Amino acid sequence: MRKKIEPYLYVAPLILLLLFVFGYPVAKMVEFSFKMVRGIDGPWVGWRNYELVLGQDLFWTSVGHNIQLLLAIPVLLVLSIFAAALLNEQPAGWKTMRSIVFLPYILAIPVVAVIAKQMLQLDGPVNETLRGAGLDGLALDWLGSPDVALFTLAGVIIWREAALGTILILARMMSIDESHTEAARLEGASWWQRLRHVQLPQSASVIEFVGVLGIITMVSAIFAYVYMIGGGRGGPGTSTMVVELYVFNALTRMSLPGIAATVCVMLLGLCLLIMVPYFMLRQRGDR
Amino acid sequence: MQGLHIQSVSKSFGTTNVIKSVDLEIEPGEFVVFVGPSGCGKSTLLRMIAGLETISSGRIDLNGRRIDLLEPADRRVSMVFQTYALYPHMNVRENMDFGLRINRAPKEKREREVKEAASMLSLSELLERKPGALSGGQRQRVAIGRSIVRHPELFLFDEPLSNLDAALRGKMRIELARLQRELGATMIYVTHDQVEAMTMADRIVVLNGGRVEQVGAPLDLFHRPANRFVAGFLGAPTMNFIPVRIEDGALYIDGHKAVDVSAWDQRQVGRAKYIGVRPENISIDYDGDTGMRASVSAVERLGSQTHVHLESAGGHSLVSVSQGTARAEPGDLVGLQLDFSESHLFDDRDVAIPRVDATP
Amino acid sequence: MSSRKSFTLDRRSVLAGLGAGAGSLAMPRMSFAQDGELDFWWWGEQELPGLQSFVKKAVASFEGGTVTPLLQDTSAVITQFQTAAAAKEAPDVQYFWNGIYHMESVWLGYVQPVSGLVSQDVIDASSPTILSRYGGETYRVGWYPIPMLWYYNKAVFEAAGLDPENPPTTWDAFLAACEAIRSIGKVPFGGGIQDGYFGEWYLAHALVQNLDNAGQALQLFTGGLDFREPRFYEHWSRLAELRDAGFINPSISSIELYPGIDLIVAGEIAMGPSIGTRLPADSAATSGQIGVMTMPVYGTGAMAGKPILDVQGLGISAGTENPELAARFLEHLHAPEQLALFWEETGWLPSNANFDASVIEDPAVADLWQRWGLSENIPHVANLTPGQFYEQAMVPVAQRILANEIGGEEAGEIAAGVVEEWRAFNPDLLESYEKWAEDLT
Repeated sequence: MRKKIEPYLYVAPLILLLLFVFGYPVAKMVEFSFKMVRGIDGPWVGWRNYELVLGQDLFWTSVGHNIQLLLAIPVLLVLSIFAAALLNEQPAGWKTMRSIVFLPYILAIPVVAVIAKQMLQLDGPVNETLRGAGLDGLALDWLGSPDVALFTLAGVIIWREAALGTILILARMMSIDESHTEAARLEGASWWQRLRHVQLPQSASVIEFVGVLGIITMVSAIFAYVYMIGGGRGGPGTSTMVVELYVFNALTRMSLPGIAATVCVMLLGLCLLIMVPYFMLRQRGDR
Repeated sequence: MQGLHIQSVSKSFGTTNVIKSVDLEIEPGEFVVFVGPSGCGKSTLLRMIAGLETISSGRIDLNGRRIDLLEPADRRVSMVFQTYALYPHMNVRENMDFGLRINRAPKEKREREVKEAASMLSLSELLERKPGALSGGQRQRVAIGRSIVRHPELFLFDEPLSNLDAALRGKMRIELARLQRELGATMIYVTHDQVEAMTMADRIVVLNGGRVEQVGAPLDLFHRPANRFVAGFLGAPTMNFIPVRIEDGALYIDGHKAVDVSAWDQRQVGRAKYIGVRPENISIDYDGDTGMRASVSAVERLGSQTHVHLESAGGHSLVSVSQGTARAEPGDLVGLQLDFSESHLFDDRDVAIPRVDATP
Repeated sequence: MSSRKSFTLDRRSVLAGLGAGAGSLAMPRMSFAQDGELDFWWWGEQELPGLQSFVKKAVASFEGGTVTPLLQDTSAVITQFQTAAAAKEAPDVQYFWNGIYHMESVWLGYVQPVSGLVSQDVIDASSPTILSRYGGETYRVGWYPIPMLWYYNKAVFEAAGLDPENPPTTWDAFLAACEAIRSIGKVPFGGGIQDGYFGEWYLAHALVQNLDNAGQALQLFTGGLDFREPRFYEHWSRLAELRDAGFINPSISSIELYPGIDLIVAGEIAMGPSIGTRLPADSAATSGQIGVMTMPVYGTGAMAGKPILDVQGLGISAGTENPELAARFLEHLHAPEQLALFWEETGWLPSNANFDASVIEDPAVADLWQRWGLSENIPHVANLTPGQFYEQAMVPVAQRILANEIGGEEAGEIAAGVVEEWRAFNPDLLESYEKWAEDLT
């Protein structure tokens, strides 16, 4: 009997800590989502917060932007795969190239964003270069035009997140037995055919991981990018407003913690909906 | 000019010279084995023929075409890797017709080729399986099948049997030899195992430190090694080497006259410093006081043979092999009889001194 | 949230915040304290460098008791106070931005009036502005003024053949000036709206042109008045007008507020909204080439063309144990020695009509103080707008206009829609807004 309980006793302190650090705030958050909170408490309002949020255009616009950003993930994957495949060929100076590729990820997001903001002003270096090359039509208002800003945001996110993807996929590729690619070379496979038939199938699990990581990031971890690039408020206009920023605004700028909690509860639910089946499928796959 | 011609080929990695100017001619339909100790450059040389390594100087021609400047795929060679390199996510059939598929061969051709190769290698039942579901021997055959399907002008094998157990290795040696005869293919086979070299090769190329030590038919190399390295490399247990002194047309071991040296080239025999005698050419005289005196230091009984390790009176470590079970025990004092008709003399630069008598 | 709260966040807030945090931890406790300890939570080093030094010295020289100051993080000024107040652990003296930014805490019962505690003379001299009044009571003492104004570059004016001492006061004169400036290859009007604050400042200057009093601004939220009415979206139409005429720098959408003002100082742009606290440095840097003006008038309201004065203030929490002591401390900060010290440490004016202005050397700053601080002025009505309106209408609408997406009428439509949403999300605030409107009308 004691033997059965023992392992649980060892783990108990950690579990209690986790419950305290994560469990209590989550429970409180769910509670807040059913209240009209001012300061730290408020009256019970039932589903009213959910009604308000789900009925507001701005909320759905934010969701829509998150979904559009999800479309950036295939781009992110393709870029990472090609960068990894190129680096895997180990051309001259590839180690330096690899460091340069990874640099954006080492930099903190605000640093990356500030750099991007300086570069992408209407009369900033990027546009100056484009104009100098005669490509005036491409010198868009990357930060200031509501039509373009979301792409700019996606671009900066991809630039940084693809760095991680590239390194992960490269590591996997480098661990593939070289004789496989050599055998393919001997059989006449071109670089692209080797990539497609030999390297990618054997990197599938890592690519999948990068993809899932990307999804979770786009849904719930791009706040810092949006805050910095969207001028702190999802601009221009509301063109880069995303769910995370919606929550932040509700909490700190509109004194509506209940509304913020409501959106967080929905976001948590969505993330669980993605992650739980994914892990269950993986487990089944391993068997 | 048919066959493979390697001319003055050398290879350096940076300042390290790993292949030092190799010249070699291989006839069409020959089974040639590159053999040597680890690091001798045999795999590097093979990969240079395949195109997986560049050559630093020299040239390679195959069947009249110069190939050393061509991409691997254009050389019309195929290679079986030590680890087989089967594509894990494809089944046997897909592994075998991969090359044809990416070169857009028509479906009927692909099916035909695969069927033929599969039946040649007894793989017909396994075509739908993935490599993960195959045994080592089966995987090896798939790797060979993958090579056959492309009908190359030259087959290259990079230590293909080293990952198999002894019994399977023995079987596969026979299989490969049979296959080569059936296909009439030109094959270069790299191994560190001299038994494989002896049994499978039409000719053996012994490599050491990036240099060709000797090229020839197995038995030629066995009976007439050109230098001490080749002599010691072929045959197991290794040949015994004993220091000698030549005086007045006779050979002295440890101060005792052993044999006269008329069997060797008289102009060169004076340089001899060592004699090499194979273990099977040393017999033990349990009663006798004749021949060399030695004490038994260890005995290994293999059942069909006995390896007797001896220490001679002169302080040399020797090994004697006799058939069946020998009655030697450690500590015994015995006499040794050396069969000098099968012995070899070497000078101080380890080069063999030629015999002038007719030897088998 | 108002502009100057956050603009310096990017530039120095991290270091300042860390320094402030460390500084407040290292504050020595006054040894000759009598009874009475005060907790003083404040903000402002972020926008007024040197303020922390002033606080340290002022606290040290306060003889009524021991004051423990704490410099707050910009994003926590309100939430930190409200959380502490809800937990009954509010500081005795709290820094308050003007308007809704502290009025909300008043409605929640966390703040008590200063009228009745602090000497009325001090309250009046400190000019807390009308936006600190509710239900007949005043809830803040003014600390330092924030004149809201337009800059204009005198050198550019001269080059364009305009009188550098007489900037345009009517809209037509303004348009003519813009033409003249454009013809010499300079940008007539603009700045940077990428971080949004420009939209707030523009509205504060322009919306009031058709308002008679601050109470009317509140009525736009309580329902008495509607943004859909042409006179209440005219200001956005005017912005669109300037855009269509090509008088605004195209880069406005992609650069931030302060870099935008820097362009005016540098002489690339001729006119644009700015803030008084910048004047001493900008005037010195250009040797007096920066002039200040009110927005040229097109509107018919009583508030049109009047200087806008906002004031940062300090208040007393409702739950303090030492209200009297807190009041004495606030009075102490307005003592003549402290006012002089304030100027020395920060290079900026304290908010007190009795401040000895003879210490001001730069005539431009002295003139600013005279016209904005000591003369008739109007409040910064953007401080009335609920946060939801700020974030979802005031800023985005201006950005979209400048990005050539929408015009004035559509802007009004959007604004009205957001107001309705605000009412649905915040039914409890509606009543307070209505009562507040009474005070301000």
